[in-house]
Amino acid sequence: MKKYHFTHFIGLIFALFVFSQGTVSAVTPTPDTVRLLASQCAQCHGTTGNSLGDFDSIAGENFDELLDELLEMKADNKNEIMHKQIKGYSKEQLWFIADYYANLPKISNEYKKDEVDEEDKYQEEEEEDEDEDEDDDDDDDDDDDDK
Amino acid sequence: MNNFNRRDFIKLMGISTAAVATPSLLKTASAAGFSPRVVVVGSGFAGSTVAKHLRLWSNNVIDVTVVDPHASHVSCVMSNLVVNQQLSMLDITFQHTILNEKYGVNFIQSSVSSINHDAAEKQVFLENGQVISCDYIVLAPGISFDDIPGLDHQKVPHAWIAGPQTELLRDKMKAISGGDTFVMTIPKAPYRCPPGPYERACVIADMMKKKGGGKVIVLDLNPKIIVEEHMFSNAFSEIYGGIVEYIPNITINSVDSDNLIVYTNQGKFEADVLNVIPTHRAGKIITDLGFNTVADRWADINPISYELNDTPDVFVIGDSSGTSQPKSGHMANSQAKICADAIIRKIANRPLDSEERLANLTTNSACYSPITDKTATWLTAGFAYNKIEHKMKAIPASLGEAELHHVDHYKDMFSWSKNLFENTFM
Repeated sequence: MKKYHFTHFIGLIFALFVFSQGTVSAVTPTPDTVRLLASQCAQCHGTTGNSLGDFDSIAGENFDELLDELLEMKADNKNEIMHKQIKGYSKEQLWFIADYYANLPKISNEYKKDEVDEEDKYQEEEEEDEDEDEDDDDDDDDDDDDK
Repeated sequence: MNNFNRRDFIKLMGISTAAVATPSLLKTASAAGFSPRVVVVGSGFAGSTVAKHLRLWSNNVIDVTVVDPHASHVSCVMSNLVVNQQLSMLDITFQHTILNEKYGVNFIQSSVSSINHDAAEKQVFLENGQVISCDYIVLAPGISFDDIPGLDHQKVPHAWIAGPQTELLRDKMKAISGGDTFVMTIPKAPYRCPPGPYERACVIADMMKKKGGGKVIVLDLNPKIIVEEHMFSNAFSEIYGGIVEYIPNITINSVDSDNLIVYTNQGKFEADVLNVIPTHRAGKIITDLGFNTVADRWADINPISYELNDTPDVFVIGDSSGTSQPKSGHMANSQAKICADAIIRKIANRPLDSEERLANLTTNSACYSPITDKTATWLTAGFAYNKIEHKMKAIPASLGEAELHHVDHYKDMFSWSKNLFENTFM
């Protein structure tokens, strides 16, 4: 984990140098801005980046591979929906998006197929009892910025 | 319950402790002394997405209550496949219990009768007699329709707000015979789901083709096909040549709902099934509550937050909002996330208009449209905030549409909708 973040730290500096002409840009997004930016991929790739359909799951993918693929699609003028969508983002933004999703946990395909097939999941009746047992435990945060 | 303490604040931000350790931020939060409460009016794509993400992104610190007269939401997205019976109503119906169980979003089944938004503590008065106090209100009431003399939606369905109207149109199409005439009207832009009416015309024409023929008369209030022009005009003239008749520049004078006749500037059109989709405006609550509008139809909002320009701490998202972006479920989801982020920043006293936020504010819309019962097309657009024009501006390179209708796009349509539904309602 530490090694991963160190590599990313170097990568971040490199990215900022390359994409911001050598200065840390005032437009470099803060973690919550990255979260918002990355959340706009979720309509097609799922809330957690684990896709329910045949579109790629992007959570927990290798950062370099993910970024490479995004940059390739950005450079390619193929008339395909993802190739078009990606043109709406700068290279710097794609760096942050790839980093965000690379750090999210990957959920296995097996589990995901169960979610898709289980029609009851979104057809269940309203429950009679209204217990409000709220577990206030600190569940796994989606913090991704221990940098 | 009302103590907004440091631990809650750190949880609220959901980001590194370094960012929240700043003394001035903490002072502001604890001095504020309130537990953040948000009421969301409307549980469609916009309302559900904002409710879910307020909880998710605040680590459940923000109390969120959704109010809607219906116990579940029926999606317009994919609803034309219920009209042609490829899908069932259950496939497009989403219970509010899911967001409650998974994220602790409270739900009250009721309409809203009025809102008191003048004080810092707002009050939402419900038809069922309840009064909810809160700090922020998000209105996501969808669309309402212009009145047309003689129009009765029970006899002449719009099926443009999904639910019983979808079933009504489906049932009418079950009963229609080969050789019959289907007449539909397309509202004046902007309206919900730009390709939607043309898609419907294709789906209906496909059904008539299978019944042995008939006529589908498409009366468009716009001067031409407003989106995917090449695709849809090709569909109308080639795939459904001899069935579809497309007539632009229509104005509707009145409708005879009993005899299924629509009277227009270009004559009267008689139908065996009549589908009139009137021109849209924001959900009624927007004008009922006296909020300022754009072009007398849409809520006047700030695109960096969706906050009403004349009413602090009240937001309008989704189809009701007056923006330069298209109206769709996918876009409503996209806007809702910006709104959720804005509310969280407001609570945490972080700027909404920092250079870094504005430079990275994006939305997108994507849509698949069935053309036949096996093929579909796609359409996509990305938007970024433009500081000079103070609006979300379409990014030309991101605008695209399918060249051909194809089985692969039809398959992708289900991948898209599954994830969109999950991201919004689950």
